[in-house]
Amino acid sequence: MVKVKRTVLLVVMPLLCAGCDTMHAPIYNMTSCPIEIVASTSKVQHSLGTPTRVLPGHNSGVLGGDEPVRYEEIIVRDTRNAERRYDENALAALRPADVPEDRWAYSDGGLSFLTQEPSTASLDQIAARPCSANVP
Amino acid sequence: MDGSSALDGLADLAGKIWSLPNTALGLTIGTFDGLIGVAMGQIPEIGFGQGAIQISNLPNIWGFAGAITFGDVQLYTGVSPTTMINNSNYTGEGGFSFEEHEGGHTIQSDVLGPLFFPLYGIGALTNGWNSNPFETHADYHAAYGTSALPW
Repeated sequence: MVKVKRTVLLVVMPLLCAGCDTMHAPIYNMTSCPIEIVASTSKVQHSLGTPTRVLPGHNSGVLGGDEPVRYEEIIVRDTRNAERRYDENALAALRPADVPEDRWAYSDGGLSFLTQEPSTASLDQIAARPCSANVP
Repeated sequence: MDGSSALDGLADLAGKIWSLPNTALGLTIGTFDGLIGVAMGQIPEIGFGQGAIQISNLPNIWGFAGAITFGDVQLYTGVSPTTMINNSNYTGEGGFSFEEHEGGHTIQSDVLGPLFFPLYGIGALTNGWNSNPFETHADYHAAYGTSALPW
C-alpha cells in the first residue's frame, strides 16, 4: 500500500508541477553586505543581464526551464572591492569538471563553486552579521 | 475610503471568490506537502504577500527547487518568496523576486478563476513552454509593474 502511494506520488507530483517556476544555478551572497549581480547564460535567449541586488545570506538564480544552467559571465559589484568580472574561461577554471549545473558562492575573496547547498543555519548567520561598509 | 478604492476592494474580493477552486487546491497540496515536511522535521513557514498566502520551506516532493501558484496560494520549495531572479528563461529579464513573479500568476488566477489552468495549458501548448504568455507576462509584471494579463 505504501509502495503504491509512493508510486502515485512520484507520478502525480511532477505532472502537477508542469506549471512550476523552477530555480536554477543559484549564486549565494556570503558577504555581510548587499551585492549586485549581473549574469548571462547560454540558455537564456536575449539575456539582458539585469543588475540584481542580493542581500547577505540570500541568493539569486535563473527562473524557469527544466535544463541545467551554466553561466557564461558573472559580474559582481560589492561595497568593499573593485567590480569583479568572471568570463566563461574564469568560470570554467573555478567549476569542477562534469558538473551540469552551476552553484556559486560570492564571499569577500570572490566567487567559488559550491558542491552542495549551504545550510540554512549558515545563511541565517551571514544574514545577521552587520554590514560595515557603505551600502550601494 | 473613496468610491474608486471601494470598487477596487470589491473587485479584489470578487477575484478571490472566483479563484477559490484554485486556492482550495493550493491549500490542499500545501497542507499535504507541509505535513510531509513536519514529519521530516522541516517546518513550513506561512506568510502573506502579493495578494496570496505564501507557504515556504516546503520539502522537495516536486523533484526540483522552485515555486508554484494555485490561485491565492503560493508554494515555495528550495527557494523563498524573496529569492531573486537574475535571469529568467521566459524573457531574459531579471532583477525581481520569485514572489513578484508568482504575484503575477495570482492576478491571472483571480481574473480567470477556474479557467486559469486550462488556458495556461493552452498557452504552453501553443507557444512552447518558455514562451507561454502567462509566464512572460508574469515576468514583465514583476520587472516593470505592467499588467500580468496575457492580452
